[in-house]
Amino acid sequence: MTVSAGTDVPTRQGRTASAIWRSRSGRVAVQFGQLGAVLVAVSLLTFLIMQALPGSAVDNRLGPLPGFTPEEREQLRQSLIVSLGLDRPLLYQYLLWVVKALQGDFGLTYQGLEVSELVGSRIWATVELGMASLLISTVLSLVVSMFAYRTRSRAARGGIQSFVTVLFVMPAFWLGLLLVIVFAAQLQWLPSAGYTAFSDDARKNLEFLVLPALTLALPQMALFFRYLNAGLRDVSRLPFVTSCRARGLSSLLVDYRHVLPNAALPTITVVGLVAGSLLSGLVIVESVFAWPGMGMLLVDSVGRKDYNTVAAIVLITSVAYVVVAFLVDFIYQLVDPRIRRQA
Amino acid sequence: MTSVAGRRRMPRVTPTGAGLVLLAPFVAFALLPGVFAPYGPYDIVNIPLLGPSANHLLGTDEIGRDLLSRVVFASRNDLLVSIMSAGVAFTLGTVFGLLSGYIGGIFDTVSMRTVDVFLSFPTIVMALFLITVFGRETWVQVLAIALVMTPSTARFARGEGLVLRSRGYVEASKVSGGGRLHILFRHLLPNAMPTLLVAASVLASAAVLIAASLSYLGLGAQPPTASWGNILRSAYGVVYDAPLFGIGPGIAISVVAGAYVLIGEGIRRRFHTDRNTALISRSVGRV
Repeated sequence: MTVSAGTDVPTRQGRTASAIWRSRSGRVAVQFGQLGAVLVAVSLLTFLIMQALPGSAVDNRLGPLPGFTPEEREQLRQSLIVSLGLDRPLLYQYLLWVVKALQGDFGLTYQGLEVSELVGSRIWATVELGMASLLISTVLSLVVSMFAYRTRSRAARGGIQSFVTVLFVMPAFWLGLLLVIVFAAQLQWLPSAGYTAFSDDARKNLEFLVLPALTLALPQMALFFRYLNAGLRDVSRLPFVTSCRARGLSSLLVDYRHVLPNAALPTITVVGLVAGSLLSGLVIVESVFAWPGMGMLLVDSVGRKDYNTVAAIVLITSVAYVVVAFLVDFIYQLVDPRIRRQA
Repeated sequence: MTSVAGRRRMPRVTPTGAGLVLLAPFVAFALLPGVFAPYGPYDIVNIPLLGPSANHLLGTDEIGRDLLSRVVFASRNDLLVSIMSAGVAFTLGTVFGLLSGYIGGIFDTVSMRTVDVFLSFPTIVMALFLITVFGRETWVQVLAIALVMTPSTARFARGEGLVLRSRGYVEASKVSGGGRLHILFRHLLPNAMPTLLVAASVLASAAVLIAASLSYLGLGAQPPTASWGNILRSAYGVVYDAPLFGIGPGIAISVVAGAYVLIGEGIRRRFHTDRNTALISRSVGRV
């Protein structure tokens, strides 16, 4: 976000234009502008990839139509082309698609259902699973990294380090399989896969939730741990920590009240990154545990070649990622004044 | 230096060495599966779902094929897909990234904004999208995996390009009339290599995981061809009857992915390239 020096034209208030861009509200405006530009680009790319589909959208929509003569078919085809706006320029089609998407209209699925209704019915299961996993991973990473930081046992620290490293090379479906083997097949504590709506049976819903949420949460925990661990080590070397100790604060107080909050700060940005990988992880985990969310819908739709649904999910997940990353950036600036001044 | 008697220095195990040792058997499996596999990958040799035994070290699968042989034969496909896609991503990302950092200006702005846009798509979601649209052939799979990894590689390589462009030897070459491509291939690339190799190892590791995930979802190698991902998929169906079914391919995936990371870690230590290599592992995206 650099503003060239050439824009230094004094305005009515006597401030130069670049000073306005550098002011707080100016920067916020620029950030919103960038957000908008990325959103437009993301939707445009989704739209363009859809254009590369083999066969036209019309033929996909028409299907084989066995009872029709070629003339009738051609007639139907032409009227459909006009009604779908496919005879218009590509830019018009894109705008039409975006405007409709903004109104929640993503077209029809292969079976003629509304895509938006289908996606809408799945979205809450995904949100529940995603939130549960984030909660578990945040709490776990705080506990584990504080333990690793405070313990004097090298063996314990080494053990945690290697456990975390192993988590980095375990894809979700393999970690999930191990959890299913232990907790579902051997111990029989939890069901291996399935879903019940929370409103139908809260207890069952939570039983089904545990394993998929853990499968998602453990790798996230590993990632958070890495950042927290590095943060704790860096912060503990800072002079203010020494001064805290010199003033005679107990080590517990120093670690939890002074070191941890400062070390945890940069981890906030990681949450944004995880939000991105969360959606990828959800795709796998939901199909592993038959969790009827958007991830499973995506995999099913890919299998059925249900293009409209796939495009809708791609658009929704990427927009969600961009917006979440943006908000996280924003929150970080609010929480850490040093970043504001640097920027 | 005198050492206490009896405390001999242990032979040092470098991460690269450990990684190569872990990777070697799988490379051997991929090259000569017939030599290492006790049975053919499609031969029904015993009753289904046997546990591990002397005859079948990993047991048999749901229709009575030897699981060890399936895992061995799957190495070829899994390693090939991951290495090819990592190779494509590495080549494209490195060339674009280095040029972008070196040339700067409008080229840099445009390519980095493009990178931002591509990074906005969750990894697996984008790969699935591309496979839906362009089909399920192996080359589509390779290119889809490569495409989701290229942007982060480019961003990483750009950082290297930025650092190297102000070096004396680059300036000197420019003054003596070296062209852009000459500088790119003769000066930037060789000097950025150690750091880029670390990135390559992370890419290869991520590619193994993504490829396995795709075939787990049924979008990679199609049955009856074996892949670690699709063996694990069948493992879920029989988890109550044969709990150890998926252990072999699961370990194979983790060992190969881990071996690549170790090799990279070794290179990093050897060349002291501490420059933010964490950046790439962060942005390539976990699966």
